[in-house]
Amino acid sequence: MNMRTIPAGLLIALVVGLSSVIGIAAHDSTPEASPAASPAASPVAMSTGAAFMTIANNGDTADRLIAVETEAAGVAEIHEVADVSGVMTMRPLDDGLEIPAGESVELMPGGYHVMMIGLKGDLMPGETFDLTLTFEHAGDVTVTARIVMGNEKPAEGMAEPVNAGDITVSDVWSRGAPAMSH
Amino acid sequence: MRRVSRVTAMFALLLVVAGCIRDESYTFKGGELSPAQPAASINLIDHHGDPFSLDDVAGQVTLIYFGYTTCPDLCPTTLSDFSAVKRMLGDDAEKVNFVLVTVDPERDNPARLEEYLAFFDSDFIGLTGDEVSIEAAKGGYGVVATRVDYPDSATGYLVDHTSLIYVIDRDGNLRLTYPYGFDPESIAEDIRHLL
Repeated sequence: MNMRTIPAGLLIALVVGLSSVIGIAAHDSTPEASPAASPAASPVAMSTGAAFMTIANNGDTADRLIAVETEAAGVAEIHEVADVSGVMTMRPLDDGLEIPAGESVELMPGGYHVMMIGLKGDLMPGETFDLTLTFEHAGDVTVTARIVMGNEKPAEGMAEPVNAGDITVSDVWSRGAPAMSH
Repeated sequence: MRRVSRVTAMFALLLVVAGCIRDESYTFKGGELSPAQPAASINLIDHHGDPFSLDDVAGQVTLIYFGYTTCPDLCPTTLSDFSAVKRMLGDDAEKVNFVLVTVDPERDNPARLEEYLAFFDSDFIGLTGDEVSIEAAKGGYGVVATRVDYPDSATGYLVDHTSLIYVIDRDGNLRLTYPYGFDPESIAEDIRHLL
């Protein structure tokens, strides 16, 4: 399947209003690790993480990922990384990420990713957290990301693919990252 | 009998010579700077708040990456690769330094660098400093880093930056570079040849 069919310079789904966020630690054990109150991170303490996945469009019309919310961070945006003559550039996509009809788009290191800003707790390898993706046509779909340390899509342990309308989201993962206090 | 052993000895010698030649002619997987040139000096503040100079790590191999802690994709990718290289080197890693020089000194103070790097490996070295010192360090390696403001993004701004890994050998020469995403196993193999 073709992965990078989207013209550069799309999207962004600035997602706010995560007031009712649940701690990522809820998936695992330690309740005290619940990231509770570290809302709008200050510019200095801002921590970031990235989530990756494969989004397939099984329908006849293009769809578009227009927003992401996650319990793991205050804000989630869709970004694109590109290598411009050896200088790596990263951009929020302004119009969302198009998922062409009958195609599949992979979000992966060095390409598209969901950038999570203001982590509510460390993204610890072995744990999981949920993201809700909003598609223009398919609507909302909630998926579970598996956290790993490293740059490779984990070989196992990821949640089953999730369907919403013509959209199928699979292989959702994230790299471990620290929530910063400085 | 004697003749046989002479032949054997010569053959053995040939093997040794061939071995040396082969080692001498090792082709680095990364981009090799030839002739090697003295690495530009770096005088910054480390993640403990102490002064750091390349002289402090003279005689060792040092890998340097210019990045920043708010960078969600490229920098953690490279730091994860650093972790992989360090793991592959085993005990040899004691003679190798892994350095992140920030291109975002406004956000990356020593405490933040320490907290961030500890997540990957507490042996990694983070460097920051005032604008002038950072500019000097970047200039020495031809690093381009441009702040781009995104008022509509929660990040506020991002920094486009050169994504090479630079390797300084035991003689203090800038010896190798790797582009983003280079295979950690190949990097580890190169580093072993520099030790």
